[in-house]
Amino acid sequence: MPFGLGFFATAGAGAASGDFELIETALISTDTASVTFSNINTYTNYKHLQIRLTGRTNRADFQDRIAIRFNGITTTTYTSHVLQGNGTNVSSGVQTGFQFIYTTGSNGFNLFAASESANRFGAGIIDILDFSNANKTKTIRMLSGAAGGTQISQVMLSSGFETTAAAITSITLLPQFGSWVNGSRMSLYGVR
Amino acid sequence: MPTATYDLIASNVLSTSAASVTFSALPSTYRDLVIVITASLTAGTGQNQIRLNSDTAGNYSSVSMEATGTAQQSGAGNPNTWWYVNFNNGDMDAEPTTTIIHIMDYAQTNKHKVGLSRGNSVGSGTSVGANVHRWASTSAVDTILIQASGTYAANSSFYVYGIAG
Repeated sequence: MPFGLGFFATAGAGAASGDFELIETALISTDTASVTFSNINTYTNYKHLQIRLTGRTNRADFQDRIAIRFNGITTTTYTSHVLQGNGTNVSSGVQTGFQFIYTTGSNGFNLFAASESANRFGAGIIDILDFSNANKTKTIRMLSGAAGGTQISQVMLSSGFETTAAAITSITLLPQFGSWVNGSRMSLYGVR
Repeated sequence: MPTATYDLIASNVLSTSAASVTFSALPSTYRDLVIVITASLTAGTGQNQIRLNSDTAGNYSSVSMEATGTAQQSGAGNPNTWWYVNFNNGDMDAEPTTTIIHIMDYAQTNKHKVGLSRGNSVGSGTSVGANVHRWASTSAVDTILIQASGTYAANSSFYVYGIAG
C-alpha cells in the first residue's frame, strides 16, 4: 500500500496532506501552441514548484526545444545557461536577450518533432524555487533531453531567469518552433 | 483540488550482496516513477543498468554527460539492451553512490518511455553525470530490473516512488 512522503496535516482541516502535491496536468490531444499554468499566485501553500513534462511538436523537422515564459512577459529579458551532451561532446552555452528561457544550447534540442519516428518524445523536469517571493528574480533549473533520435540524442542541465523580481503568477511552456502534439503532457506540482 | 503524491511504492534494502534487484507488479495508477538508489559494489567500479518489462531486445537508448574530476565526456548507447547510467565512466564503486532515475509517463501506451537520471559518485574512474534514456516500446512499464556491472554490496538500497499526474 503506497504511503505519502508528506506527513503534515492541513491546519484545522483534520485531513492529511502532502508536502509534494499535484496541482494541475495538461494533456495535449490536438496541436497546441502553448500551455499556460495561470493563477499561480493563488497557491499560497507552496514555496516551490516543479513541472514535469513529456513533449513532441509538429515542427516540420526532427527536433525542437522547450521554451519557458513567466507572467506573460515577452520582452527580451530572459537569460539562460546550459551544460549539454550530445553523445560525443560536452558543451556549455549562454543565451541572453531572448523572449523566453532558452533551455538548450544554440545547437541543442530536447524535443522530438514531426519528422522523427512516431512515439518518440523528449522530457524535462523543471524546478522553480521561491516562486512567490517578490524581492528577487527566480532562477529555474532543469534536467531535460531526448534520446536515440534520428538526428539528435542530447541531455542537458539548464538554468534560466527573467529579470523581473515580481512573484510568478503564470508559467507558459511552448515549443520554440512548433506546437505541442497529441501525447504531450505537462504537470505542475507544489512543494510546501 | 491538489493531490498529495510522491508515494513510496516498493523498496529493497539488501541484507546480503546481490547481482540485481527486480521490482514487479508495479501499479499503473501513477504518471511517473522515481527510483532512488544508494548503493555500492563489492569490488571495482561500474554502473547501474535498467531493464524494463524483461525486454532483452535492443530497444534501449541512453545519452550521458559526465565529469570524472579530470575530464568531461558525453557518451551514447543506441540501440542497447539496457539503459546505462553515466555511460562512459559509470556511477558506482566501492563507496555508496547516489542515483536517481525518473521514468516519465511509464504507464502510458501512446509513447516510448523516457528516462531522466543523475548518477553521482566520487571514486576514481567513475563520474557525476546526467542522462536521458528512451525505451522503444509503448507498453506500460510494470517490471523494473536494476543490475550493476558488478555485484551490489549489502546495505545497498533501492526505493521506487510514484508521482501522480
